[in-house]
Amino acid sequence: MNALEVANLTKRFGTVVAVDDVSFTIPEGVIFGMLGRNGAGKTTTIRMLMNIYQPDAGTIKFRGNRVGQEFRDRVGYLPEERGLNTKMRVLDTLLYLAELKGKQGAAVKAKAMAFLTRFELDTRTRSKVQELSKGNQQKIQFISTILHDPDFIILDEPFSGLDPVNINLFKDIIMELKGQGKAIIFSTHLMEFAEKMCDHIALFHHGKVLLSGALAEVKQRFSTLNVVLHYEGSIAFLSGQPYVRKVQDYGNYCGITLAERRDSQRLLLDLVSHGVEVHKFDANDISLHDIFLSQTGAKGEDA
Amino acid sequence: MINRGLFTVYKMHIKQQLLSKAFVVATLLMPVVMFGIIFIQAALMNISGAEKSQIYITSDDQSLLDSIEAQLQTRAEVSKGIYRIEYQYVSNPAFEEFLGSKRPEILANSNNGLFFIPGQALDDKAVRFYSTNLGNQILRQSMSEVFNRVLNRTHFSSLGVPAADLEFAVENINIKGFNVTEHGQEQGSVGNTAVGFGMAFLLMFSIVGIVMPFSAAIIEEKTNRAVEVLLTSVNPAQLLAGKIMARVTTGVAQMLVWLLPLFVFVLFPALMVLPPQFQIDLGPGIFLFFFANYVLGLCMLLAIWGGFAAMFDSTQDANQAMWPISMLMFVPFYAVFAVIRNPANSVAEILSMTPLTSLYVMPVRLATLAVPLWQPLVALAANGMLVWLAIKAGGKIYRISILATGQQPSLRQVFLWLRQP
Repeated sequence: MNALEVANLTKRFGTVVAVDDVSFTIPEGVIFGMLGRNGAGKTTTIRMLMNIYQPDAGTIKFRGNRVGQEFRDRVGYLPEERGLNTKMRVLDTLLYLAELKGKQGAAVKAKAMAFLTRFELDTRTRSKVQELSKGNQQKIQFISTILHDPDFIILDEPFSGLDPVNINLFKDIIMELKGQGKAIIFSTHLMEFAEKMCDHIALFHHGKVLLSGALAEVKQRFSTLNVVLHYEGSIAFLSGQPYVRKVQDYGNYCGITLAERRDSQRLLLDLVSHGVEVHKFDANDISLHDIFLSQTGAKGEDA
Repeated sequence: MINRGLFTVYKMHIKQQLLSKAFVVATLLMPVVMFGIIFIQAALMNISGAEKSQIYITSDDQSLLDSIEAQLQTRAEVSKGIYRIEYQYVSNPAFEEFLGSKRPEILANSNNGLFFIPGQALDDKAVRFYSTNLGNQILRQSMSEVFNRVLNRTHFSSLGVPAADLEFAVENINIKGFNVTEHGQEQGSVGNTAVGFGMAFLLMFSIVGIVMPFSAAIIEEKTNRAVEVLLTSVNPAQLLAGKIMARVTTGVAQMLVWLLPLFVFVLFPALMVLPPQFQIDLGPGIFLFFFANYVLGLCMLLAIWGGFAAMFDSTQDANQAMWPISMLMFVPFYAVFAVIRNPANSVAEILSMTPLTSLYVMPVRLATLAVPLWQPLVALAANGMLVWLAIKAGGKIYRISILATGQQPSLRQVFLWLRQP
């Protein structure tokens, strides 16, 4: 069953079409990657899901019903631009935002304290939000997103500004939430995280969805002529080879698109004969990053 | 409209405002500041009046000079030594030379001065004043009273008018006022008038204190992006309404604290015995009207402020652009002065029923006059209609602009928003 069904969603701001006839579905219990460059239409789409913006056209259904107050109460939203009342105290902020979602009382308070302890902020309950570091403010924002036990969670660039330890902590909790059967939208332009965490994706570009579906299927679709290579040495010689159609080189890692499937053997032989030290040679694989670049035509921007 | 989200927003803002130190300080401090301003003004006037001065009073009529000296000896400024006065007979031709001899002393202190009262003044009341500070109204007024009294007495006694009649002639008239009611009449009092004006002042202080910071709060919530999170739980109308309701509650609570001594006094008049001319006699109607109109006024101004503030990304920009709208708060207050001279004149009557000005003018009229019931009802209805319009317009602007950033909307855009369904 699908948790969310978005059909033909459109939003215009004056003459600018920010979201153009966008459709996708999100099954229950998956992490859904909403991918795209800045300004691709991800945040506007999310704002329409959250009823912050009214769509000019299209429908949004949550478990078969059009989204309304019930959906808004059952969704947790971490916006890209963090937004907290900086003059409020930490615990008051969490309890206020939970109460807006219809959850209050001792149980919510206990849960808030448990999260604060897990994020090592249990000594800061009386601190004003503005007294916390940016990273800690982000933790508070994250806790407020999940404190009311939402069924559906939207995380817009959740890792931005976090150190590696906290990224891991966030990641662990996101995977726990997925384990609890919650559907999660993970909006990002960082393909590395999306590739590791997402089950399904939708690739946004200029307000449109270029492709969407299960990540494995998408990769399958694009990987048949692709080789992922981790290496040491020089692969400059590849640019003159007739069997190589395209090389995306990142130094010690590259994605190579071949002219034909059988050319992978020839490629491997040539690499060895040119003294390239091959650490990993993965035929018929493609990174999400490469798919993104191939679909959007971008050359390393944002992606 | 009133649902869980709105109530939660209201509850949080009430907690933030009513239980804040700022509220306690402002509520306690405002009356102190208000009465402090009056006290300081009175003290300043007293201090400025008490400046020591060297005065020379000259005349070419010795008997006139003697009468003035006798009259001035009765004045407190002279007996306390504030004015040190030298009396000098100077003939008209010798006056220039005398003035020259006193010039250094006149130049030495701007409070010093020289008066010349020629005998001719008994016919034309023309007196000359020499000083470096001709704007010294305190000295001029004080001396003018004395000179006028002496010249009147001298003039009329020379015509054979008896001294007792002369005293009667120069004495000011004393009009005692009596309020005429359906049940009879009673001695008038300035107490009610003072309370009416006091309430108008408190209203102005409160409205400024409650409404002005609202724009900063809206802009702060917008710029720190907290509003985006809130709007995932409540819609913009609920968010704005919750904030407005909390501020109105805060304002009413503040006003109740300020008026508490007055309520106690009105309910228990035996607690303080006032002279008849300062008696306060107010019914509950004026307070009911005052609070009803106060709530409407706050709702109206907060809705306008909320809507307009949402269009801006910085308090500085908002303050500059909203300056003309701020006049909605200040200009109506000045309408109060239209009722000072005659609370029953037609201008006062119209202003007391006009939206916004009625906030201030009607309480003064209700305190000082028997106003027909339909007039406060019209005032409430007119304000109510404006509140409805303000909430509709302000809410619409707020809804559209609260998440918009960057370039501020033009007036044309705002007009188009208002026309949207």
